[in-house]
Amino acid sequence: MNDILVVGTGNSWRGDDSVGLEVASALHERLPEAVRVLATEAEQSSLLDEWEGCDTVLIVDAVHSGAPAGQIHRVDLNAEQVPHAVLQGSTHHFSLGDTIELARALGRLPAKALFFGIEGESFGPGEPLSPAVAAAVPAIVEEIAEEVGALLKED
Amino acid sequence: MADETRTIKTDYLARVEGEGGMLIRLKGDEIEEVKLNIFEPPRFFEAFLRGRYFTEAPDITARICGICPVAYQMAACNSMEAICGVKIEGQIKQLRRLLYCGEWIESHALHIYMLHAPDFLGYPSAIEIAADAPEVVETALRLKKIGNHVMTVVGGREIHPINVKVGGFYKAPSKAELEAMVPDLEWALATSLETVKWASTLDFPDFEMDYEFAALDAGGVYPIEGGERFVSNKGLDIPLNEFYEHVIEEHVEHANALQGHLKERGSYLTGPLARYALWYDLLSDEARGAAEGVGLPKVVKNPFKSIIVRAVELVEVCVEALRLIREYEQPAEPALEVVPKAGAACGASEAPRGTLCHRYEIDANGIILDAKITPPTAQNQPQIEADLRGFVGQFMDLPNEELTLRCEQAIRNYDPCISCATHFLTLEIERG
Repeated sequence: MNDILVVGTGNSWRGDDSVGLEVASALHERLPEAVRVLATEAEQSSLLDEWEGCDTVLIVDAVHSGAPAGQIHRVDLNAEQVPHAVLQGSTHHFSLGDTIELARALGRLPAKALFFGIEGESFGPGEPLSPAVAAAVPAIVEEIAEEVGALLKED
Repeated sequence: MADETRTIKTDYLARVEGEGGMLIRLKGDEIEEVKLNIFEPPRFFEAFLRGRYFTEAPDITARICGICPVAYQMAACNSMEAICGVKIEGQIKQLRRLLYCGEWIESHALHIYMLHAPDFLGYPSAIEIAADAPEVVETALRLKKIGNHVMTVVGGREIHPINVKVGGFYKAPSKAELEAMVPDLEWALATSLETVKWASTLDFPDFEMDYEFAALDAGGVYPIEGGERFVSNKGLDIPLNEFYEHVIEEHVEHANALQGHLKERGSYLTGPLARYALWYDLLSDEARGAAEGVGLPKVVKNPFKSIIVRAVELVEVCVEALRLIREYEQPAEPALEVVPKAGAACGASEAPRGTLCHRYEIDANGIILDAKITPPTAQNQPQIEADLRGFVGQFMDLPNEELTLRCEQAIRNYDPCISCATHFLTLEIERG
């Protein structure tokens, strides 16, 4: 099952921005080995190469939209765009929002592409995850693990 | 309306790493104020490094920047090896250069096509280019992928390469692993040559500055992975260890970053324009030929033409990567042993966007006592502001919207990496 990719992105030094990486690490332990799980701080446009050839990609990142910290925003990327405001807090380079839209323009979004944004509240350098965001990690790990489990059953 | 006040302002600079803003205030024909604002909070890396073991510096500092981790690793390794009296030569040095070529390919391709090109082509971003001319963006993505692949094969992982250590590498790749990359790199070279031609056809404002260009002197090769002197076109020529005697860093009120000036000389430029002007004669025949082919002079003073110079450097690192692979022989040992010695030294490398200098002091047990990191963007910031002053002075008659776009473009000429450029100022607490 090399056609499912789960990718968590973020910056491990910037407080709640690291939540995507945390979720990916937890999923790496939990999901069957056949599912590729990637935790990356890379420049975001390189994700296009990572999901090339995949039928499914699940992307996890921190977002900042003013919603309560820890809230999970789930977006089906083939059905709708990620609201711009949701990704405005990205501290990345060619941002994740840009990368998703670039993939759409080039026809390089996998057939199933889901985005899980976790609302962060604190992005200071050297900070740990805020309590509300840390508390949300098990729920998002569970949600994604179930999603992947269902996909594996379909096959 | 001689005293009419105009304000040109951008709160968020798209296509610049980190977040920054720009403010230019004009009163009539006078420029009252030019400020490049940095919003990014300070970085804690220098403080975080103190008390760590000296071999940890390359891995820790690699995390400062997602675009140029190799630059940080190399500067840290160069500094630690200088302190401990170890000189890296032969195949290990060549492997480092190859790894770094991968980073330049990735970074220059990203900047030329996806971050800078939209300015010249009149698009808001690469996404709109992808809709109209997908082949342009696909070219960029393929070049980037090849650069990333070089970093993966040599560095172990493309971002924050894990195979790099003080003294060399954990594991040296086989000749066959490197040779497998040759077809891709040959494609990248051919594409880079086309990129130089394409970049030269863009429209450039008629604007030049009399720069002091500064870069590393790598002793007879185009500076990439290191160098022992820091030199300029206006007479600066110092051993690297004197870097902080000549580069004075000032904390400026409007930017949450330190800005570098040359003592008693002022602003200077580091990066592609400087390397090209200082070391043109050291470029390969292919890179020089590409420059000559489009009529690019040996010294480029128009900062907007940095996109062409970056393309020439792209040619250079493709040629260099192919040469390094051709001449590679897997070393018997992937690293030299480095035993800690008490002392301090500077180490530097040429990040894609300019000279990056580190200075460490360690004790006899290898514990880091002090760390100082000066990224290229911290050095270029005063020069970017000077460019903005010069540019606005010359093009004041443009309507606000166009002038704003041109000023943003003038900042992107430097491929600035703002999140790298901020770092923490030590506070002195006075108690009564």
